[in-house]
Amino acid sequence: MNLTATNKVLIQGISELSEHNYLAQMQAYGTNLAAIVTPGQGGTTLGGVPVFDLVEQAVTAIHNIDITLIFSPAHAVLDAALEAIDGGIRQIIIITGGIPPLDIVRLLRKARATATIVIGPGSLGMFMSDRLLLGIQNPHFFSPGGVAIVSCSSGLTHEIALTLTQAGLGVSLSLDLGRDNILGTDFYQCLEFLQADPGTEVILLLDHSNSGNNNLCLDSRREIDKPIIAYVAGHLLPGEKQVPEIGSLIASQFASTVATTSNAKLKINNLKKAKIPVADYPQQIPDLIKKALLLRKAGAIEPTTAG
Amino acid sequence: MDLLEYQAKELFREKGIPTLLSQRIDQPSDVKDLCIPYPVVLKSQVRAGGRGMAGGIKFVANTIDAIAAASSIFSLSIMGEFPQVLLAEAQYDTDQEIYLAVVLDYQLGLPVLLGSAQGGVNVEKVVEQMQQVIIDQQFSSFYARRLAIKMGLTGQLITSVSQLVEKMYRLFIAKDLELVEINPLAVSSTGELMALDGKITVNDQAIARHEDLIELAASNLQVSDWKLGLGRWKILNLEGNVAVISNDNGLGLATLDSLYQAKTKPTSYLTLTGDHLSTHLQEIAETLPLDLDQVTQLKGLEVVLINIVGSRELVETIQQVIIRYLQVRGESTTATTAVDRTERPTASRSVRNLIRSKPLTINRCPRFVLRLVSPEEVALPEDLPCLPVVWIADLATAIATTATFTKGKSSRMEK
Repeated sequence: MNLTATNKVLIQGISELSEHNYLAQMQAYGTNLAAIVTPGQGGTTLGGVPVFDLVEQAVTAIHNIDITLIFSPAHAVLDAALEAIDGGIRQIIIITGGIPPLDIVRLLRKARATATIVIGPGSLGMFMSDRLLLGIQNPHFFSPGGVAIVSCSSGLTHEIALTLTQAGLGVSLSLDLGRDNILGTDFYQCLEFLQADPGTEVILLLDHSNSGNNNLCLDSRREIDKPIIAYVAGHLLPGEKQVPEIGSLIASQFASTVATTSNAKLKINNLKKAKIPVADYPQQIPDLIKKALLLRKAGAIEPTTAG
Repeated sequence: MDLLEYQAKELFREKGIPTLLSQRIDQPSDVKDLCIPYPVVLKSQVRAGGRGMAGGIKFVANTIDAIAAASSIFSLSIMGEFPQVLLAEAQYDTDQEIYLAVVLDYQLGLPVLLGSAQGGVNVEKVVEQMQQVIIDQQFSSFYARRLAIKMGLTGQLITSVSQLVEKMYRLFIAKDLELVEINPLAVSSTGELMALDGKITVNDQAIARHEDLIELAASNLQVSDWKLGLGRWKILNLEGNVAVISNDNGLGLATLDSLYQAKTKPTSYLTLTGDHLSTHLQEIAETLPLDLDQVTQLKGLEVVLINIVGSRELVETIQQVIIRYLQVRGESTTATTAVDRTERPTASRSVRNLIRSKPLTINRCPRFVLRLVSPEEVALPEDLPCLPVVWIADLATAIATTATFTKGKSSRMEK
């Protein structure tokens, strides 16, 4: 993963007027919007950015595009992503949510084969305080600081960002992994990027018990020496009685046929196994972060290895 | 969404999966015009399993029996669901019964083929012999053959069953399905295959691009979850006294964690969904009053905590809806007027109208704690009559206030 302020950014599938505000907001944060692809509007410009009919044309005219943001309607996302991969773009953020699952299955298969990073679907993208806005996160909710928030719930991110501000803490970056049930990137895969980010002192993982599946959860720290804190929302809920989905009782014994198989208790156990402090409720997070930062300053954190 | 058996079989026929001669029955008298020779099977078209045990499947040998059987099946509810339609089918002599399925495994993020050489209603037997093949690359016929071999099939059946599995897979992909299941797949003494019963689950996110499925969905919608009375609410504890509404899954759950931490008793929660690119404000404005009508039916409800962190438009909409709702419902204990008059042309309208026109008795209007945050300030409404509502800016205070309101009640009760 390589997301920096110097990235050349392509936008695919911006059509509605309301979405044009997102372009202006990104530009205001210095994001280098290099090209827009909207079929039928090639040759025009939008907010000073050249518009092309095809990704192929965009990558010919503007070399070395680093990343594309996909805003296309859900049913057209797979096509847009395949077009981007065909154009040689190897980092994709899918802003649109609710992608038909078989589309994302097909896209991720292609992404693995081409070493393409996919963030989302249903991701608000990434925000780096005062440096970069890739997507549609709302900078208003954040104040600058050293906490990197990685989350699969944008509402929770915003809530916690406000909580941090109240506690005198701030955010180095906020990365939204997306809200769909099958996601391109999980917590584990972004740790290396967060380790390398100079503005990040401590990493905060936000998950919840209704998120897609357990693949998101983390059971080792990788080779990360920055403190990691986590919160899995919904873990205090009583064991929810699953409304029996009719589906197929037989098939469900052999395959995870239900979209949300995640289990807060299991996730928390895994996090604890990896010696990652887990908050019980949102208001506890600032204290855990402050404690971790103090420990780090005192050099008390032992370097752990992946396990 | 689960399709009914007769709908699944229509899709099977489109893809060349063999099904029996059958006919749809909309009312008992329809069986007079059967084009299928007796003896015939009449099957209740409900989504629940275990129809046979419940009496939803009857064998009939003549028209008189058939009319009587059809009447009794139409008036039999299976797990709370009455059939709108029956399916009349020819009988079939089988040598062997097989189980086959194609499912999307969300954990793996990949489709999986399932097969058991022992199909039928005895689930334990089916499960005992289940075999599995994961489609981890581009599908090709060999995956289906691999399944047939693992199932222990031999000779001609390897080819015929694997070809059928391939057709199921093509159907699965073509229609964006979550599940295609045939159980049982009958094998006749001559080796002919026949899908005797089938199940198809459609993916709700993909349905928009399949016009044929949209039509089927519209006809099935009336039996959807509205009948449960609490609609979209997720129930935690019917004895609880706090209901939570939020605009995001994680945010709602975090709010609930905080409430549990503060020793309150949440009863249920609701997540207002909507793509963050285009929050469906109109839809929220229409359905939120209905959601509130539903939850206020809960006897012990003391507080509705609404925690929204979102766009200015969303916050404004919710604020207006709540105030309007309380102006109508907050004062009177019995109200028959509709809170929301906007009509929406959907198939579920009849159900919605039903809910609306039902005289509603609110035992006591709960208090509303509103915590609405947006990037831009939203002005509070100017002249508020004394409605049972408080506005609070931060979550911790909102939780504390909710706790005070509910504890006030329990201490009164102790006295």
